[in-house]
Amino acid sequence: MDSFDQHQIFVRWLLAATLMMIMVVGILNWIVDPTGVTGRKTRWQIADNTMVRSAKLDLYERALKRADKPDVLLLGSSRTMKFNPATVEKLTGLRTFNAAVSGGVPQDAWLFMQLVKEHQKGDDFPHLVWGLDADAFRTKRVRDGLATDPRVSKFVPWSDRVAIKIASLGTLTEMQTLQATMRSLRAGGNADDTGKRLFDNNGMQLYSRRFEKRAVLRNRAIRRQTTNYANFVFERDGWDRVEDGPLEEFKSVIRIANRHGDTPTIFITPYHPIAEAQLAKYDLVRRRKEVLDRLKSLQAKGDLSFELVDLSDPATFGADDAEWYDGVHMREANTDRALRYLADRRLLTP
Amino acid sequence: MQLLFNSHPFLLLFLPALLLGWWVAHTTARNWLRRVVMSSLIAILLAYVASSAGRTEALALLPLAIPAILLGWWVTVDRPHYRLGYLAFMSWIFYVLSYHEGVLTGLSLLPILLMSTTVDFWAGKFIQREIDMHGDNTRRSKRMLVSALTFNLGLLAIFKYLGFFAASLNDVWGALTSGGTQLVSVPDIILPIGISFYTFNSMSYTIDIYRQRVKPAQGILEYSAFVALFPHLIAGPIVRYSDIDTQLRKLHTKLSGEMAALGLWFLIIGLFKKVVVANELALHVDRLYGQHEALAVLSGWAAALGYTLQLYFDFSAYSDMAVGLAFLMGLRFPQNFNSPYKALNPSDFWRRWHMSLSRWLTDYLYISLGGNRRGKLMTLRNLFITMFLGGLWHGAAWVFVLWGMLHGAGLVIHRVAADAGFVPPWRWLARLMTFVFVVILWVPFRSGNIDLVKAGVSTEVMNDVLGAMFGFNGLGIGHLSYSDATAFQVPLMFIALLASLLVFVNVAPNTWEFKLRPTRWMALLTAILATWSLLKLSAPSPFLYFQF
Repeated sequence: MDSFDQHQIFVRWLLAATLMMIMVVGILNWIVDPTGVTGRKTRWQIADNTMVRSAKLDLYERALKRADKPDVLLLGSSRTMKFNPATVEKLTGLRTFNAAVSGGVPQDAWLFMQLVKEHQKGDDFPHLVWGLDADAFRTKRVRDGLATDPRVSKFVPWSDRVAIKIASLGTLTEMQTLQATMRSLRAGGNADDTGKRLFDNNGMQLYSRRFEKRAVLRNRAIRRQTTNYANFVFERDGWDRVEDGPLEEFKSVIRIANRHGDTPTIFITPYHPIAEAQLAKYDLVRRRKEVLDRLKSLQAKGDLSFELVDLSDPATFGADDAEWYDGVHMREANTDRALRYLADRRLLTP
Repeated sequence: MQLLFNSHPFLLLFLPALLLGWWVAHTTARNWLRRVVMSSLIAILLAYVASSAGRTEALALLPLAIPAILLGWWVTVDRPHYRLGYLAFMSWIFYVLSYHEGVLTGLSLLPILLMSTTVDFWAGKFIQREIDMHGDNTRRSKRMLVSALTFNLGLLAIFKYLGFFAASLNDVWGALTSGGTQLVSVPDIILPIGISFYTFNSMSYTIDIYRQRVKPAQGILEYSAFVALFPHLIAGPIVRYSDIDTQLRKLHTKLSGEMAALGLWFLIIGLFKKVVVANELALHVDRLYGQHEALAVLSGWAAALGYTLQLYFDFSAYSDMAVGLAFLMGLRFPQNFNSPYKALNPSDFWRRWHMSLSRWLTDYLYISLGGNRRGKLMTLRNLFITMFLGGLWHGAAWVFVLWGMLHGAGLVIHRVAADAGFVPPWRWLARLMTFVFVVILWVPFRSGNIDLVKAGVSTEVMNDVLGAMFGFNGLGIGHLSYSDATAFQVPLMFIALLASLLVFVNVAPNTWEFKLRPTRWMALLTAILATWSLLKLSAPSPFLYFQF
């Protein structure tokens, strides 16, 4: 056999073997599905964003069946997921539901609104309190938020749905998913939070022991998580300016609320002082100011009505530096302080 | 979303579409099925271009894009030189998508590349015409050369150095007047990706024509394809026109088995070096540099050694991938790394590290300054000036200038010592001395990181790390707070990785020295590396040399 043939055989074997190995990994991950991207809910599934999102929709539908539907709806990302609806109820007497989801962006809020406007029309429409992250207006090319749940995905354009599906299934050929698969298989299924309740009936996050333990390692966790956060938000997503797409979705949410007679309260979520310092090199202050300026200009135009509160400095509402899980997530002691600050200014009530 | 060599869109979409277009183009003239497949793939690519700009609805335009491309295909496919046009076009798309700021930024900075291409193409043509008419260079051809060089250096001065010069001027002014006022405003200019590389490529083209070492490109498409050629466009190697002119004129019409095997081999080795090795090192190095004020001797050296290896595996990975991609297109690029950490002296190091840059600086700067033709003292001066400017080429920051000057000083000292007969008595000592010298000098280089420069803390970081390495911050591991995993605080995994990689770079053959045996076992082994790399691709990180 001459050298020419040998090289061709090498190329064929190389490509075929690589394809085969990737397929084996993909099939194994698909069978185990530790991150729930196939929607099959296997016994090996580890708690993740898709479960969070489905759980929130389940709970909201359950809340609608009760006599007292939510009067206040908390929107936002994982940072707002730590805001306790029970505290709002204590402060205002209003039934509250926390609809915030992990990695929540304006598109998630907009999708949730599609359900809300179907089920809580007219006087029933809840008061919106939205914990808006300064980085929420960056364009994530594929937004896999609530759009992954079939109950609301019908509101998403089909091209987005295709892109989301491809991206979700693409995670089956990632090392992280393979590691999760191996971890789950070693644990014999039911690893981590699977099978445990993630939220109470009002959508308040219930914490696993592992999550609580992170608080003990607070300062270390803050630095580490902030590095991850920076990689995710600045490097991967390239957050640099207020993007038009998410801003339009934000405006749509406000418009829906205004049409139903509500003036939503928007508050900008804070960073821990250590994270704030660590993110200075990414020009965080300038980027956040740009967000605030854009929101203020929307207010000034007058066609959208909402209250804007800047809580980006945790000292504003007397936050305790020790009561954080990491650089962006506050523990309940601090989220309660933020809610009290808003309640004192009558911003938690319609 | 950036289109990087180590990203899914590049490897799974851009590259297959480009290669299919490249290899199938000249054979599809009468095959409708192939044309449809080709057009569909290119249309998908264009849809990706739009979707990466945040317009995911562009996917809906696919049914319209396919017939449009099919029409373009039909019009151009029978003309062989349009293959070069296709290559230039796809390279420009790659360039535009390389900006993490977004497609619009890429589009707004593409004209600079196009201008540079056009100016040098016509300058080269003009100079050659003068030579043809008069048998040698004339004053007009010299004037044209100077104009073209001024244009390219002007682009560099404006887009790369203007902000730096303005800020430096303000610093000097502030120091003289003890005031906080600015003498000039500092422009906030986005650095066009690859400007240092493509301006150097272009300059070498016109200089080589002037020196009558090469004939000009036969057409603008050929020259555009050379300048924009995507494997080397944004982070080198610096490929000269004379390296590939005959290859571009006599394009392969079929990808040979050997070319394909070598291409995939280089590509996969490069991908593995970047995704698995360099990125893992980066995690630890970034953490250590992030706590520069807390480092002591051991942790300081761990940071410096870690970066020494990270930079090598990162940059040589890019070069390997570039070489592999060129092979896959039937082109041969020059070698850019030759086990630099095996160097015996500073001069040897520069013959092995970023070889295309070293050769460029030698041929177009050192020799132009007089080289070693005007006596010992002038030779030393020329060495120093070359490295000083080489340092500045790497980045608009004083730490890069310092780094270049120190390397220049190293070359001068080595030359003087060698002439006087002072050379280390053993090879291992020569290697060790050179390695330690290089490791120490990578500290100011790392401190030139664009984020650190922007934050104005480059000098502080450099001083802290160098101080720690030389024991000014204690002899232990310092006050690191990032690990509770071991008693030594610097994780054992990192130490093990450092040790094994140090042995590897000192003992193992490099990618070029490795003789690829195209056996099934080797294919399986390479497939494992490929799979490992592809599974780790989910979070692509930019190559370090992008910033230059």
